[in-house]
Amino acid sequence: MKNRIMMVFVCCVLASSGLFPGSVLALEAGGVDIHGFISQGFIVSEDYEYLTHNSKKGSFEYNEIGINFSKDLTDRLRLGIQLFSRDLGDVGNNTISIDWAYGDYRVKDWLGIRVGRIKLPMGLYNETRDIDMLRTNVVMPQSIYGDLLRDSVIAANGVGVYGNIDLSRLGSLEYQLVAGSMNIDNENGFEKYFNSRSKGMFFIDGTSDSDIAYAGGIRWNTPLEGLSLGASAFSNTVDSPVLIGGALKGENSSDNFVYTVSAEYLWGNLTVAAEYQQFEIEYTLTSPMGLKEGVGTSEGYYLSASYRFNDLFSLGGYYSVLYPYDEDKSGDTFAFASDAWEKDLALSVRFDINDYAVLKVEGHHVDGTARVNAMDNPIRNKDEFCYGVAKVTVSF
Amino acid sequence: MKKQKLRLMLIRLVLLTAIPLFCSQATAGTVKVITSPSTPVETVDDDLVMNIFLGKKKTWPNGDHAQFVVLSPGKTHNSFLNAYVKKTSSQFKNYWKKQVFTGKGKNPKSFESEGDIVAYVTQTPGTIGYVSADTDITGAKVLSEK
Repeated sequence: MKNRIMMVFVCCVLASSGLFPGSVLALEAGGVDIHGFISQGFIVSEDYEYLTHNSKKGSFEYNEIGINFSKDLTDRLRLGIQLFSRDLGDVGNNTISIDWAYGDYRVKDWLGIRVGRIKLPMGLYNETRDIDMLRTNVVMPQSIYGDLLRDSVIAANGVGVYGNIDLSRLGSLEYQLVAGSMNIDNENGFEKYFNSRSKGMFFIDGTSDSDIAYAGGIRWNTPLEGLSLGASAFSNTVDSPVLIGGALKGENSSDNFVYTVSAEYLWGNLTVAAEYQQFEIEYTLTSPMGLKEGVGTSEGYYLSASYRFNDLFSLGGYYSVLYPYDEDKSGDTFAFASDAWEKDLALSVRFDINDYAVLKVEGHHVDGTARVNAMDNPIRNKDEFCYGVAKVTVSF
Repeated sequence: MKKQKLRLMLIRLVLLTAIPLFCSQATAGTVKVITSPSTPVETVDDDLVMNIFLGKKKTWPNGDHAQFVVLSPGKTHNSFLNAYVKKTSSQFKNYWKKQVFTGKGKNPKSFESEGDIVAYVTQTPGTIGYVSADTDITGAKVLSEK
């Protein structure tokens, strides 16, 4: 496996040095297309450890690496696999996993079938959230695309159908439906998120298990050139053994339902996007002390814009708002009031060094501590903080 | 006095450096959408061309497989994307990177020269491509021109 990573690295170095001719955007071996990317970031924050556990002193533990192999077996049948690893402070730690791997049979343009490990449609960018070079910003708006929850919503092992329906003068409609089981790796962010959200009342104590997850999304490419509207929903149940108060063993079962509505508008070199999401968790905590049930709904939205000035330079920004408990947006019931919201203003610059290498620098001003992880930051004393990131991505 | 001159010089230098950052890509010129004479269509509408080049449509109306090829980035490529696909060159490139890294498609077959694209299209039934209006397209069939 290490050799494969080395191969991606060597290819990326070659790519960034311009040794590949301009028209070649992939390696090919025996009819199999090979593509890969490496994104290496640096994150630094003031006042709080944010995204990584060590961002206050600056951290390079912020990367994503992927390589994929694919082949068209016939005009209608396609097979592919992507290996992926990421590091986000003490999360991920570059453990290699299968990001997606599926066979795709296109019956008609309006009906295709996928079988295997399939990425889930959730919002505009869930499927591409790890592919840094596709966007201007570095950090995705955390109100919708929380990095610690990435593995809980990224892909499922099962079946999917998809297609593109021509609506004539009304544009076209793309749809995707996926049903499958999910592997939830506690080490990949879920445990850290869960423990932080439970505020020390209980901790995950073993392997989490997910029932069959269902995800579906539609995207309407409207007759207004460049405007597309989307909606998606996701549902699953996650069971996790927990330790309550450091001593009592119990089990937490969470029924999760997420829906997202989205809009994206492309006008020349300008891209504007907005999304709204509600994430409802209905949980049942079983322990020797009895049964505890509850419902919590978080609400998030953002507005983003980016403009590509020329082949070299793009500028972007977004304003992202998250309320982890929509019943208390002002923090009246919180020990630290600003845990009730996060309002993140981000500004990014992107330099496309060549076809294969991208450099980005981004600054954030964050009002609120809703995404400030309690495990990394037991003491909260400021409502606002800033952080910055820089990232280089090389791909081929 | 010297400091003021130095400041002015620095400001001019920064402004001059920034000029290329704010120049946009030029997109102009007529393009012809071409195919092989054996392809079972005589004309195409813009939506069909867009859907084929975005991988959303993989068949001709009679069910035959439709393949598309592109030119390397340049004036003709930009003009075609602007006229038919309604995307800039970078948006088109990003669109296909998205397909590649989510497993939904493979990068389009690309050619450096318009002569090469004509040669490939004429010899490969069901393939669609494009060239600038003044390119010699002997042996190819024109489906649309803009």
